[in-house]
Amino acid sequence: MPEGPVRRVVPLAPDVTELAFAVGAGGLIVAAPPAADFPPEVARLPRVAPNDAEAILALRPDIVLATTAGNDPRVVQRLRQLGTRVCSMDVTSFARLGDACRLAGGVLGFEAEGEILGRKVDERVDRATARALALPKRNALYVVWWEPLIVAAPGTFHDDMLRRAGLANLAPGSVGRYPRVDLELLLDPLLQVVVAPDERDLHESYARTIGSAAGARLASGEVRVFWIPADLANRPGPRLPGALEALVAAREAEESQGSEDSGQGTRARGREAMSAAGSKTQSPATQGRSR
Amino acid sequence: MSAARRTPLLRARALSGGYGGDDIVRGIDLEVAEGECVAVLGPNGAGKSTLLRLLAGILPANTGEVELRGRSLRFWRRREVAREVGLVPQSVSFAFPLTVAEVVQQGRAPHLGPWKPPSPRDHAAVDAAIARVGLSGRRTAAIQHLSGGERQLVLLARTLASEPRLLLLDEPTAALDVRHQLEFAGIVQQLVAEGVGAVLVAHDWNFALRLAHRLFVLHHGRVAASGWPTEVLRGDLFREVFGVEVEVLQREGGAPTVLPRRLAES
Amino acid sequence: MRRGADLTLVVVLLAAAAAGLVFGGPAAPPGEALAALSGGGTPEVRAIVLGLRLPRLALALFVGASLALAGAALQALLSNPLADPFLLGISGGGAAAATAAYVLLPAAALGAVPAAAMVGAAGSTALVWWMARGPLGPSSTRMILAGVAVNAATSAAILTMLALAPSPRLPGVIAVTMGSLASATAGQVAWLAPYVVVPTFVLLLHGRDLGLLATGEESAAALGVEVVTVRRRVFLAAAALCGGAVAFAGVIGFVGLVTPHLCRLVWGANTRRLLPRAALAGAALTALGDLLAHRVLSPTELPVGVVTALLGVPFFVLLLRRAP
Repeated sequence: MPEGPVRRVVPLAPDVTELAFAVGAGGLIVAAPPAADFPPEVARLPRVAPNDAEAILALRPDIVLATTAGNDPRVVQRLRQLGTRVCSMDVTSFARLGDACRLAGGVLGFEAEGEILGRKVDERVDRATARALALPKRNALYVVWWEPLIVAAPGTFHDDMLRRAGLANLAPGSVGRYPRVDLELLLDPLLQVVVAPDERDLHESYARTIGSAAGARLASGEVRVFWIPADLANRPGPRLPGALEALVAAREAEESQGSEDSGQGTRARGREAMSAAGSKTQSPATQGRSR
Repeated sequence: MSAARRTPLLRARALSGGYGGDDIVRGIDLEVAEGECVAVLGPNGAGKSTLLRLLAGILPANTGEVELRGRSLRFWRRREVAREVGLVPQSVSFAFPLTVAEVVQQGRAPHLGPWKPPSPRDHAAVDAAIARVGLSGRRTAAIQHLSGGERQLVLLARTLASEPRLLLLDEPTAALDVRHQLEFAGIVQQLVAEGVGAVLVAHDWNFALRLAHRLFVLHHGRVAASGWPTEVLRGDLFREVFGVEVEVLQREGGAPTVLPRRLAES
Repeated sequence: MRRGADLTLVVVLLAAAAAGLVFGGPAAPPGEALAALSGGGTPEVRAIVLGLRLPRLALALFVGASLALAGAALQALLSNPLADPFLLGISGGGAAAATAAYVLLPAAALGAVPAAAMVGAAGSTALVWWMARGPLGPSSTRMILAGVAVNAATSAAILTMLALAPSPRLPGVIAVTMGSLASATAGQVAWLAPYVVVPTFVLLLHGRDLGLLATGEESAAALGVEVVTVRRRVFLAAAALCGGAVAFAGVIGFVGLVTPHLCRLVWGANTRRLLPRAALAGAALTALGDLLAHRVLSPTELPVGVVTALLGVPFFVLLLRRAP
């Protein structure tokens, strides 16, 4: 594997593209994957398909950046066999985000920037996580699609985000990372919170869901829905801490509103908040509905 | 039996027809009366089966007419024709396992509406047909388990179950052994004696001569000869149409026998 | 034995229907669901049982009956035990159109996907009919060949769209191609009803004709069947049944092929008797399959087409070994 100054970089996924720009190596990128859309400078770059090994090789990259969260490992292997230097990054959890930044900085020749970025990212994540500790624990789902109902399972960065925001993921862990689940899960009395990316497509299908029998608890407010910025939450890149911060902030706002407000709808939420926070009293809303 | 006494059941007049607008048979004039058996013979590709389908009305005529009981087939509905005319095909493939009784039962279709279950009368007709072909003991056997000869008898029974007045038989004994051929011939003879008309398409001259009162010989889609066996069975006919030299043996009180001798000199 | 078999079929169907209404998520456990069915229960439980589970069950019954009935009719029409609405490309067109609609339409217009599926099914039906035409009208052999060709083309189209689909839409596309009854609503069931009832009537009307056609078009014609008319009506009815099924439930592939065979093993091959029983058996099989699909790994949902295949095969093997 050739070592030496890195002058030509090819990232194979939007998240590692963002990472490369974030450590300052944007000028070294010779081509970007079609799905990359941040930062705006990416628009000027030519595109290369992430599984087109021939086209990637034709660009004569000094290093190829791949992600474990979506690039075909066979293509990666192929490129390595043909002598290309490939750096595969794992950015699927918040804990590894800082390390990924440092790694990116290291291989691209921007160690100092990588170090700074990694530290900043870690700080933001830790701060947000700490803030969330003050919030009551709730049961939640991260919804990727409403029709059919698709949620994020344990092992995904979405799941990690929920847990760091003080939410317990109700999604089943057995089958796949983004399983399709029964609509009746929305009516599960244990469910208290739903988190979804703020996209028009999802809002449209949400409107249909909330009008159907499955959306009864969503419509009544028993289940609180948090919409977080989609372009932050949809890919595990250096902006991911922003998604976590947004979610924690939204929860904080909702909690403070709940304790000030004495209206009927919010009283029910307040009662459920107390019962879910570990108190042993059964509120009328949850009595008789034990699983 | 004089021709004048018998009413023509089916009559073809200047009939031409075939597949896809082409004419395979041309200018056919043919008549069958009740209680009469007419045999249609000819070399391969002469159009015998096509003629039969035209007579049954399942192939529309291009020019000319087929008249059933004096009325053109164009004005008959399929079901009405099926109640009068029964076509026994050469063979039928059964994609799904049916019992003998179920197959023969299908023959009652022209008499049954879409929602009516079969009546006792229908069951009686089915039983009678099965009995006539001598398969009463095998009513519940699966058709796939029957021999070729027995299957052909079942097809005959199916046609008989619709109680037709005219039988159209398309080389019914082509794949049968001698025993079943004679059985079949006996049943058809009996029916004709009872007044059913029959048009028999055959390869086998001797089988046809057993049953037929009159003969039609087709050649390249046209009638090469027609009439009584004594008129038709001439050496030069065989030479021209079939390209063979034959010897015709006449027996006292029996059907003539045709013996092929050798290929004709061209 | 046949009378007992009829009774067993009805009992199984009713049991499958009841199970589909009673078993579900923890918000409406079986005891409360039963109460809701007999008029009691809380409004929430009633909403779940009647607003969520009942439409889903109704859709499963409609779709299962449609597919099995269409399969039985097509097998008779084409004298071919392998005939199946999916093999003949009917649902391929519906699925391809639904996939295209799902990928291309803006989210607000996604309600038009079933309509697209119907149009697609009609289109592939017309295409198969046109490709199969011959001097005497479409022949069965040519229909099968044309169907295989159209099926291959639509499968290729679907796979291409799957590869190019933007990832948010992918789950919906997979729901179409692997079958899903999850988004059933009462409105959908109402929409589907005429596409089930009318073709069913047409097929039952021609039950005897189909039995004759199964032994060959010529012998059927000789026994009074208007072959050209019946063939057209049956093909259109089968296409309508399948188009409706694909439009609202996606591709559920095993029911149309196997249910008629299972029924033949029990009731014999008389097509007129077979058709209504195949419809009921298909309904029961699909309802049971859907129940298992969303209960077995609850709350994860399996594609219902996979479950019906897994259910059907061992049952089929069992019956085949018993048959003489």
